[in-house]
Amino acid sequence: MKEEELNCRKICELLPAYLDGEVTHEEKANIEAHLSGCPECRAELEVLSTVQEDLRAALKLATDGVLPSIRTWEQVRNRLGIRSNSHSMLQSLLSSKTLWRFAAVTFVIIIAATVFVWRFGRFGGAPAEEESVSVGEVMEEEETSPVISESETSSDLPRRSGGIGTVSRAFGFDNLTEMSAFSDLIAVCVVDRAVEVKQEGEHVPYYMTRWAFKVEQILKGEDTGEIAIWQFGSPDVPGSDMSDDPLFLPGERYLLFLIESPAGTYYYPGPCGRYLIWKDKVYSMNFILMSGGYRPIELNYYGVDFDTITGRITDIVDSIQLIFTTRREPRMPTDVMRYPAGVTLDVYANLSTGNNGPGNITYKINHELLPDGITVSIRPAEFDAEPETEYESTLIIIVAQDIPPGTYYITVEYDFEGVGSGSRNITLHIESPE
Amino acid sequence: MTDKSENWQTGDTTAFEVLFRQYEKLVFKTAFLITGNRDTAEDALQEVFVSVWKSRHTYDPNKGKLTTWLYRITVNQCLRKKSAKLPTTVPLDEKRMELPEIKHRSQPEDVLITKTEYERLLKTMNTLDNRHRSVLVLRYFNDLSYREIAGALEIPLGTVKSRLNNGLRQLKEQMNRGEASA
Repeated sequence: MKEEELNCRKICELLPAYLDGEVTHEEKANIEAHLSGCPECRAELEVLSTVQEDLRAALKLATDGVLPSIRTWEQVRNRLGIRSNSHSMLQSLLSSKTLWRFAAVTFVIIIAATVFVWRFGRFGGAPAEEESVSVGEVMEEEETSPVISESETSSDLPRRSGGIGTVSRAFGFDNLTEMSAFSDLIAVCVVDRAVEVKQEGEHVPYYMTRWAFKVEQILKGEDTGEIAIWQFGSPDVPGSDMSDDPLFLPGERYLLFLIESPAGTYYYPGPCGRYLIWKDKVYSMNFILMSGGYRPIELNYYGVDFDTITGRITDIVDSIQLIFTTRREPRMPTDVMRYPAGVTLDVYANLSTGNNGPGNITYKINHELLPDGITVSIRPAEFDAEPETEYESTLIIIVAQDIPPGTYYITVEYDFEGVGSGSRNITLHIESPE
Repeated sequence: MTDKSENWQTGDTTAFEVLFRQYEKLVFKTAFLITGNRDTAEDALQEVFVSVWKSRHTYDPNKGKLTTWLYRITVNQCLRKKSAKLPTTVPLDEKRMELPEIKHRSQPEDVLITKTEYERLLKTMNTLDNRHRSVLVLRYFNDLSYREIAGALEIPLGTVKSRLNNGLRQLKEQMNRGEASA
């Protein structure tokens, strides 16, 4: 019995090598002879075989798409004092003709705090494809002539498709106040590296690029240390969607406005959530097309002083902001509206408390100032508010059928207990009923 | 390509860049698995190629494959970095390791390993000491034969066998323990 155990132990020690084909002919014959009469060792062989296969799969999966920084060669070269003798990948990208071609493309951008999105368990067992949908925002770029002529651009400003001059129909905020007040994270950060990630799609594999950012400064929200932006396609794989159209380039500095949804995952609100910082000036990365034409909106910056912008953002973030919106996409400004008589409107009153509070907030609509034929109610009209939080109430505006066409004003007053009070107007242009 | 690659030994920097491009992913991924840390792997990648360039005259193609030489430098760099930067046993740093999710496949029977098993395996890998981990990575990620591993690490063949044996058994036991506690 003891001898048998000893034999089993010896055989078991050889099993990994047996599975790896690393035993001698003699050992192989002995092992197989033993296995034929020993169910325990056969079971052990099966377990070890599974561990080996699982380990192979796990190691492969752990490194799928994990790539070194595209700047490593440059760093090695610099350390060794080797002069550049060929175009780096970055230079190739910049000089690529296709890079500058405006192509009709649709892409999904997912922004995620790295810490959260790539961790197990965060999304439970949800398939990755569903995650993409839940945190992504579809943006369309159209083949359109740049709106800024060559003469207007700074000669040394990096340009690329998706950058200055490109048009997007994607929804965006109307002004810095709205965007700052209703972003969950506003960060100044530098593109640290791009990582190509190969994903197994249902039918064919697809590629994504993970742009990793080092956070330099947080203007609003919690410091995550690093932010990752996901883009379909890979600069390394030709034809993989955005292969020649990188959103960012390593080393660039950006001002990013991010909205959190779901918790721990961020996306940026359309084209106006991404600003290039170049030599202490801030540049829009897209011009925004709404309602069939360009709007000279406040968010289209072209070389605005960085300190000025960040100063304004800080002021906005610190203060109370009341903003009216509709929930339709594209989101329309609702401070000024035009409707026929007989309409009932749901308008969302969004209040951002900034660094103020806690305290009770009360909304008041001065009904005496309202004309006959317009009734307004708001729900909830009173609530307890915490600092750095956004609250949504609904304004229901009912316009009678027989109200004379004209311009009417609705004033919503708010009183923030112990902090202050303010008001905001809605301008309503009423036309003849349809 | 082969001729050009060989010129790096004579100081041809273009050929050296070709060599770098050819092997950077392999070296980086190996270092990433051994160290479990992207930044450390990034540092190791730099160090490996700085070292390759500086000691380019010492490599003799007649004595062994280039990859074996590269693996030797890589593992040495990783062990040096790991011991310099990290305590002896380091829990898997998920923030750094950034484990990709297992994808759902169209056929459930195609799934070889579940997400939990995968996570547990990699965590367990990280509890092994560097020497066992290096051997497991070279065998089951880089697909080196036992003899090649022995050559790369400059250890006897018997040591490769015993480290693989011990490593796999430790993984097996940890996995069993995990299953039992789950």
